[in-house]
Amino acid sequence: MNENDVILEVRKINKEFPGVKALNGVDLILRRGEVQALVGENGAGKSTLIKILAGVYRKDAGEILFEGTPLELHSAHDSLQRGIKVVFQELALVPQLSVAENVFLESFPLKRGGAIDWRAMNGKTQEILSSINLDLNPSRKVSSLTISQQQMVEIARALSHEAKVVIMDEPTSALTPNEVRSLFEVIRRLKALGIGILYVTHKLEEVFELCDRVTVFRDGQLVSSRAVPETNTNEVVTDMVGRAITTLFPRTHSVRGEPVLTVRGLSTDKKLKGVSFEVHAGEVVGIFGLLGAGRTELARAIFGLDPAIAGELELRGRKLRLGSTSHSAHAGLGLLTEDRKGEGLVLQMSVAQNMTLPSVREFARFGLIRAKEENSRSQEYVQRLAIKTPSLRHKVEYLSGGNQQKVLLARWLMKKLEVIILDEPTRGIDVGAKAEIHKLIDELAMAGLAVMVLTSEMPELLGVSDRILVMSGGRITGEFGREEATQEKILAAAIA
Amino acid sequence: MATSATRGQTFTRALVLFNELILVLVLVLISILISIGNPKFISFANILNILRDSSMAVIAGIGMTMLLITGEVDLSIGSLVAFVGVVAMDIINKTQSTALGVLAGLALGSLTGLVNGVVRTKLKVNSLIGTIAMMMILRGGVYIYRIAAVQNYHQKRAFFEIGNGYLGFLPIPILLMAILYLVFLVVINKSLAGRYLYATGGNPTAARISGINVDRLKILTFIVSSTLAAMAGVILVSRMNSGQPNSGQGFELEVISGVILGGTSLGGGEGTLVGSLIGIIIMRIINNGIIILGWNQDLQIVVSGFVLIVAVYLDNRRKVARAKIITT
Repeated sequence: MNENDVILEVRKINKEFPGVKALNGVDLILRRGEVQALVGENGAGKSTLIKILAGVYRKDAGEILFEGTPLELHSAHDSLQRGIKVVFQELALVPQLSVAENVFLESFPLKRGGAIDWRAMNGKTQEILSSINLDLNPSRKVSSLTISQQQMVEIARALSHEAKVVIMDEPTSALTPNEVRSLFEVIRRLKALGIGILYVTHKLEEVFELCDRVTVFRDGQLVSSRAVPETNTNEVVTDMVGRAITTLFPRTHSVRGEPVLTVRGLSTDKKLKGVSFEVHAGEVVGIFGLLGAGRTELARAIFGLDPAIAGELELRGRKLRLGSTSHSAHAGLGLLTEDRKGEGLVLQMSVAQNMTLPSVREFARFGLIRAKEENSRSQEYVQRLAIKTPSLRHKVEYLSGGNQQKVLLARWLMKKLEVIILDEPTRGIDVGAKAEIHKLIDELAMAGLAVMVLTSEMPELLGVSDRILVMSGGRITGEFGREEATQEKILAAAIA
Repeated sequence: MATSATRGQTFTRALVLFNELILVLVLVLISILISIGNPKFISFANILNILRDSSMAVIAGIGMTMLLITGEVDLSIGSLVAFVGVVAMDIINKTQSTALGVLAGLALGSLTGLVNGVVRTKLKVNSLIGTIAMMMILRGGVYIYRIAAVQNYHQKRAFFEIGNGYLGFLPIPILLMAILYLVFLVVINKSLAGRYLYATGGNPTAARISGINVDRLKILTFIVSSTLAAMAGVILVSRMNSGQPNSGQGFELEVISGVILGGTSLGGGEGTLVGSLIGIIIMRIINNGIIILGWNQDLQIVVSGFVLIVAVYLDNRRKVARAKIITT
């Protein structure tokens, strides 16, 4: 077998989503027995590429060559049949079935007459498992396995299909250090079997421990692809963040007032591990973290959407009750959620009704809403934020993403708040609307609010924040003032 | 092919935009068809008769509409109606007080609603299952309480009047229905509580973030809904002039079918009282028509079953049409 055999080649692949070029002319080559790391910030295009290879998304243009022949993938089934297996973070196993049943899920070995040949199935599973040095009983139920063992089942499944390419999406994000070590063992076995591996990760130390080649994505493009022995962390990080910040953010000078929100030792059973910090009046605190760092969990725990198991919250020196959203809302907290449609908008309601939801009681007398007042206030904000809508009674569902986001911002501008938490305020929004939203963030701080901006976009973070907190693994791993913050320092803390 | 597809789309689009108008047309069409079979159908007396018969389902339908708007449902109201009737009659017989009997019946309704609400919000039991359980508990409970019908021993006139009396030419049940309907029309469309109902059903997380106490609101809605159903139970027992443990069977399905036919979504966040009123009256007119045309009365149950399927089908069509409107 020739070591340099190209097994998978991707040529000039394009993929566009409404408003975003997710992939732009990407070329990539994977060889037999090679472990190639795919790295890049959130939204750089790694996930889109592997979803195309998995048959989940369809490419808009370009070519996929598999062992030299063009490949058209229409479904996940297709790509598995052709020998490409993607192990996503969300494992695709049937928990109620056994290890062997999962391994042979698509093609149970049958006896003559159509009955399942259990003995052959368990035997073959055992064979596959021992080929990667894995000690696991094929008849065990998958639901009784740890996450790391379940990953192994997915890998065994790939082998049962004689997969030649295995793609892993951040496989170590939920593993303990010991489990990571055994996963690496297995990956090395796969490599020895001549399988090509694409390994998506956020952790650079894994790249240097495990991988042969590191490929960097940025803004939908492949920036560099280097042999691991010939590069170093600095070079990779520079490639990851390399873009110059061109957008202008109108963060005007603001005066930092007294502390408004104090968070002490906040922990949840899922993610957060003792998070403490303060936000002052008139200050914009940017909170950065890569996928899975715990940003959104932090916002949800502060607001009371998720229960906290330990910690304290204070608002202007008064204790806040944990885990009560109505208490938080009445105390003066506002939350713009990351998931606009799922958790922010009430799609069936009108633009005006969505805007006034938290403040509508201010327009009510004897429990009845005074429509005139509600409409005039809403109209004021439609004009102030330049929201494009045919009328106030138009259903919010029919507005564009940017305008929907402005409706949600208007919701919090209308209410008297102490603290506003903005989770990914500009995700999926075009550049023009982005700038307007950044201007609003500035205005909120100027009005004396304590503002938290949770973002995974580096330019936004550096542009809007007075102070930056970096999260990783549910903890705060770095704090930087506006002046001292650089992309490299922030990323280093985020990878820690 | 192409024209029929666009015609289908136009229909569903119209269903979204002019739901109530279409329902009124359907109602008129059915009425005309029945009148052709028997002109007595359209007489003033029969119309009042239909409205009086509808009053119980409409009153319970007000509550059901609110519950469905919050994304919940209550299948226990049929059993509740029977239990309320038996308890009200029994208390009247024992105390000789119509007021106490009616109050006891309404209190039983409120209590049932409270339990349904707590089971849903605190024990996190899906309301479909939780209220089926309550349906069984109440039906079994009323049989344990009294296996036979409870008669109006003292022949209380005041009690008989609730379901059978008139104010001028207007039957009292219609009057009660009209008053409750108008009150809740204001509550649902103009009040804070009404706004919160829609927000809670439309997007519970958004509602919570906006400071709405979703659990408390849902419990209250269960209580109001069950109390309204108990009111329907009081009218029913008065109309029968006896509390019957096996009454109210299928009442919950009649009410829910009418409400969904009227455009209230099973998914929550949507629905109007006007739609519910028309939907329930359409169901009643079909039932009345079957009698007036002299058909087999058991057809009523069969037709109700079909209407339920049509109602849910239309609900699905509306959702699809709405998605299409967004993309175009």
